[in-house]
Amino acid sequence: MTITSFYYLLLVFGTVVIYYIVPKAGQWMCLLLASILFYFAAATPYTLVYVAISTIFAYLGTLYLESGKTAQNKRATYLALTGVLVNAFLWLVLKGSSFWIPVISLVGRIFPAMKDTGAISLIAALGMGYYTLQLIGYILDCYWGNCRPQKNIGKLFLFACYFPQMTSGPISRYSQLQDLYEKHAFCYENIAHGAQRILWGFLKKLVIAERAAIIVNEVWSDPGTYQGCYRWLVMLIFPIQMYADFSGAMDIVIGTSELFGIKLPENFNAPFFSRSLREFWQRWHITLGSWAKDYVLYPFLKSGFMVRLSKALKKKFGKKAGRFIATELGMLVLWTVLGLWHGAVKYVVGVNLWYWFVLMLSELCADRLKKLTSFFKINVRCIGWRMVQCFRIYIIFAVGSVFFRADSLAQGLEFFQGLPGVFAKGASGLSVFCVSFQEWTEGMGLAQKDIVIFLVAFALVLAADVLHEKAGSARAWVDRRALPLRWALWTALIFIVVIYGKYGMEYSSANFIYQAF
Amino acid sequence: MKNRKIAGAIIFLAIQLFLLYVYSVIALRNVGEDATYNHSDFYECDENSIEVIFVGGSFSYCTFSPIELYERYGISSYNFGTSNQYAISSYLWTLEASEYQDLKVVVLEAMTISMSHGNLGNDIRALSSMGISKNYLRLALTYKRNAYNVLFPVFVLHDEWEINENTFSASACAEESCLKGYVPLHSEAGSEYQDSILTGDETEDAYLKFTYVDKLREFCNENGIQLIIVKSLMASNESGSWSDGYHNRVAAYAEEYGIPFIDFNSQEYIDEIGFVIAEDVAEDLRHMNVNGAGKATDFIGEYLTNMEGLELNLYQNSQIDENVIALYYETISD
Amino acid sequence: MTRESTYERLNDVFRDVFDDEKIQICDETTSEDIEDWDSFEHINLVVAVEEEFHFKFPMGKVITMKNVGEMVDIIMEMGR
Repeated sequence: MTITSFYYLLLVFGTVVIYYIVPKAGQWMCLLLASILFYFAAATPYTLVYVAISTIFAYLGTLYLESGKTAQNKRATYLALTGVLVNAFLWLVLKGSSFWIPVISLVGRIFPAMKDTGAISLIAALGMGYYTLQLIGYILDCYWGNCRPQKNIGKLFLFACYFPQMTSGPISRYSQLQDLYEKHAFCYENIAHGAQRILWGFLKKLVIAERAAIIVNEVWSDPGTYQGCYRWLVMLIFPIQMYADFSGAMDIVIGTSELFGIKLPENFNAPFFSRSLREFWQRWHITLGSWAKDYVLYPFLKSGFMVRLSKALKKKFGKKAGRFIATELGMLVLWTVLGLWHGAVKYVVGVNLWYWFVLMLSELCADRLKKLTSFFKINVRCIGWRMVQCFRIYIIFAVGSVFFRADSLAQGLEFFQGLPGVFAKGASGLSVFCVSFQEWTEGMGLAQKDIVIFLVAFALVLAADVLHEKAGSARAWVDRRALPLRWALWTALIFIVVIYGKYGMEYSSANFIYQAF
Repeated sequence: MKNRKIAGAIIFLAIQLFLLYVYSVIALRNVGEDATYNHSDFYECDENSIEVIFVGGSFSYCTFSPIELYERYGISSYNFGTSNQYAISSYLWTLEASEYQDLKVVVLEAMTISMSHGNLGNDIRALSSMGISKNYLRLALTYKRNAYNVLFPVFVLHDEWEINENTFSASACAEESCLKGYVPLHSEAGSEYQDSILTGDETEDAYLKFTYVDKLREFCNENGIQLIIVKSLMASNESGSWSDGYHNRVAAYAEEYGIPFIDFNSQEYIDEIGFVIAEDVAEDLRHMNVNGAGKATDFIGEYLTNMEGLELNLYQNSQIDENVIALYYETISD
Repeated sequence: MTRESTYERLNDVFRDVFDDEKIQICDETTSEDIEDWDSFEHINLVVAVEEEFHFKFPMGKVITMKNVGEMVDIIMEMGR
């Protein structure tokens, strides 16, 4: 069951109905039941055991922590540590298995007798990357006295397996999801807004992302044939696909949760409008970055080891350079952890280290750039400069995203090698400069009608994001319009999704890019 | 205030459901632009003027010509063949046809028996000319998990959905209505193809699901309709085509229930009818062409005329006059 | 250690971390008020404050501190 399927909508509808009928004290149990049902429908059922184990250890880990105070004694500390380690370990064994492959092959080379013990492929739990981080965050928050440990293991289990978050996040903090256990009265606005948001997510996912995927998949599946300009096109389109895919999933998920009156944190904030690279990462996959910052970066930079190192660096290289090196070291650790979370070597090196490297460079050059812009009297506030910044960020992100899409580091590198030959011919023997754009894209599987739809939908999403930037919320803007206009708009959106969405029996159940984590 | 909003929401949803219905109707009309799926002219036939119907896949619509059958034998018929028609659709078309016409004979093309049910897209297309009608909705009884797709076929057909000049015209694509469901093919297989694809081996067997053939048979029994199974002539039987195994299994079924089974690929029929595979089968080696269809139609005409216990009203269809017949020959000669 | 003297020392730390001699903090100052004070500089600031006042912020507080006033409260409680 994917979240763009009819059966998901049915499950949500059924849950909403029951949710507002049962006595309010039991509403959280209704959600728990729905989450378990969802899990059985969406994933291999027995793997729910892993979620349960993680939850049990998180529960035990916080058993002796007093609320509101930092952990006072060793026993509490050890238990909490165990909780964190078990969670991390489970994740490593089940999801990080791709890391074991080089290790096992290395072992096989050193000890030829052990060569044949192949990596056992274990099926990980659905959403393992997400709930593991949530539980670790919960344990640490309790340990640091930021929240009260949950005494009801059923409620803690709900925190871990709350069904809207199961497939692709967002990664919530325990304090953000207290609403899970509160009483919720029926509120029309919640239902209307939630439904609208889900519709919006469907638009992004089925109309934009799946359409872009047609060319992207075509070119990636046959790299030998598609070189040069084809690769450029695909490299530049893939970020849009990723954005539509992931933020569309978030819309569906957050919209679903809104139906229950439970607010989930946002994961995107019009990232392509960012002015700087640092800002971009505070607008893209916000909850992951925020989690890593609070639970990895801060503890690392605050640790005794780093403080001492930082002091030594400052002594040796001067205050500014010393602080810079210390910060970048912390960032390196942060980005590596983020890369590891995504699960494979290609992510660590190709994607995340690339971003870390560029970020570091841009920090290094920030002053010089400032001097340059004032020297040439460039108005950094004008819209032209803003667009240059956006474009630069887009290209940097697009380069990293190549590795995201590639199956391996090697394949990613190979992709770049094929970029130069701009005049390349594709499968249909068409070079982009010899034929009309229409024929060129038809050769890859997209009709002219598709391109028009893609652009229209893309424009809609862009408009919404702009409204969001300027007016705080596109939805509020729509709410203020007159009824006929609002109804016409929602009707048009439903029409676009139903008629022009890429779904149905011809399409392999539209899986989400971020569902694998 | 709140109640007004909820009422508003309900009205909005009702409008959307209605619109989904409208999109679906348009989608089904789009399907009809492919002439092989378009049977809307059936509904323009006079009541109780059609006594024989042909059902099945493309092997049906290439083989039997209702106009020629009427011209030479006076038997009024209609051909409900559609591309890749599954047996479930043949059954449902029979139900539908019998509500408008007083049917006496149903001729089922045998290849359809090997495709029982399970492809909702095909079934929706096969039945598209019915619109969203009672018999069409019976699909939901079989495809329970996909009932929402049956109810709103736009979900299945949305990729081909279009609004064009044909959408709102009286009968989308009725150009070929003089053919009454028949689709003429003009190429020839070529002289390398001389022999029947069957070897006459009576030991071969094949597995076939007779679920909807059973239902069709029972329906025919209850309503006094004669069911006949016919297999069209073929030049070659690469994988997926007719075989001795299929022949034997259908023959066994037909014998058990007393259903006439005529396999044009059997040597006895090739000899009796005078089929010449090289000339009577199209170049795709599977479907019969206009020559072969003429002979096949003649055979069926003779067969039905001489069938014991079958009383047909011959030359009673006033809608088929010389103009229609002339137009027919003009159309198939292109 | 009085509140005034704490503020003096803290102000120097701020000016040092953000490289801006014009900074003047008060109880209500938050990250919105200082341009370079984003979530990354925050941790540098925290470490610098810890160094100046010879104590360690509880990890939980690092994330939940809302404004400078709160920070000063903690310094006065735990620092020297």
